[in-house]
Amino acid sequence: MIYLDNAATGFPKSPYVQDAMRQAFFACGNPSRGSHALSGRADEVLYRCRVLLAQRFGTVPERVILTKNATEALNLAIKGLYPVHGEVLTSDLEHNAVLRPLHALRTAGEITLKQFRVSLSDDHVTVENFRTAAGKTVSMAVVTQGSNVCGRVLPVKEMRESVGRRDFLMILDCSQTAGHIPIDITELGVDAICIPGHKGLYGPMGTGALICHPTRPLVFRTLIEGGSGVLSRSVFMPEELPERLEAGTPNVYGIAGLGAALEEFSYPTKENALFQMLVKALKGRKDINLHGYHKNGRYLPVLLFNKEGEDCEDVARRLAEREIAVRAGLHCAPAAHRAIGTGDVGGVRVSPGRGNCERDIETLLAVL
Amino acid sequence: MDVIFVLSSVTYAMKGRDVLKDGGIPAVLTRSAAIRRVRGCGYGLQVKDAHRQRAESLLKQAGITILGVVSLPR
Repeated sequence: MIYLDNAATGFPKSPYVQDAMRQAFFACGNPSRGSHALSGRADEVLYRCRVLLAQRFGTVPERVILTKNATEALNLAIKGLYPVHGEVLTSDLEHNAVLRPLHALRTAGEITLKQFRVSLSDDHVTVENFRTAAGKTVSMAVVTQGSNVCGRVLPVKEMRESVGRRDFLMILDCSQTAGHIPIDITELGVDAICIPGHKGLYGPMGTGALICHPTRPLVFRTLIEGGSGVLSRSVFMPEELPERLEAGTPNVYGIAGLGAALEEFSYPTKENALFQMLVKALKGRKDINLHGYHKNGRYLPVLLFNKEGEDCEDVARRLAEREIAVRAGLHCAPAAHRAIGTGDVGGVRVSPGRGNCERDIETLLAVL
Repeated sequence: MDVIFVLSSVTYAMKGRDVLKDGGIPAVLTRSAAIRRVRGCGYGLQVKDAHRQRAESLLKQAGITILGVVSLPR
């Protein structure tokens, strides 16, 4: 199998990750619930993962909320922080994990939703579009840091700086960027970032995190209430993070795996080289339409294309028959496809990862 | 004699334990009836009374809120 679907989930996972999960399976009880050794070990697993995530993303451990994926993190952030009857801004490249919670709030009459256009060729235009749309009335922005459809990375720091207001909240969807580019929440100046554990970080599926700025005051509404292991006499959730947003028994085994993935993690270099090789080869082919603008700006190793005269699903099926895994369709981001111009037809997405080599790309090109 | 610093959560207790360890103060993560009286289930850090003042100072410097201090009987 030539696996080129790493934007969906990083594959293969490391045996070190598997070992950590197995150890937790046999050594951990329910965390934050008891003073015995099994519970204590689970507490250590969770705390170790928080520390590693805090170090990697520029915050403190108590501001790391462990979730089951980036979608849950985005829902916690969006629905926990949205300004009631206020204006919220988002981009035209968003995944449904951002769009659907925002549209649910809009439909309920809770927010007014605005959208700005991301330029795929000029970051200055993106920043200006964002600044203009934010104006003086928008209270919160929820944007992707990098598109899961075409791989374009947004100039987030410049966007945040363009809106000088201190009370302007910014939530970042880092589903595709986490593990691919260094992210420091303080450096970016945003309030919260949402990450999956299983994509660029190569942790297990079923893991993710909502990571908050280390010092900014953030008062979250809760989406889920339940046991937290502390303050049991109160009928309310604790006010402190992370427990406020972590009701119920967590995925200790997955979190153990994510911790192990973070321990052995280093930023990739190979994927980008393979991506460039792929772009260069496909650009020279008349039967391939490449989407995105690969002359300037930053791109993740995520490439979208269509083959002349062949539906994207047929291309993906033909590749799958030759044991090549790619992903076709709308990638849960129909708005982004509309913005790119593939709203009706979708596209074939190729996303190399750390398990790939040049021969994999050569084989893909040959089959195409 | 030992004292227990009652903290808001297990996360803060673990962070506090690491802060105190870095400061050369041994601390044990604990749950006890004394904490439950203050917090209704919660976590604390148990340290020697001799370290009480410096431990309190280190925890506060690290931004860790101390909800109460319980002295344990000898």
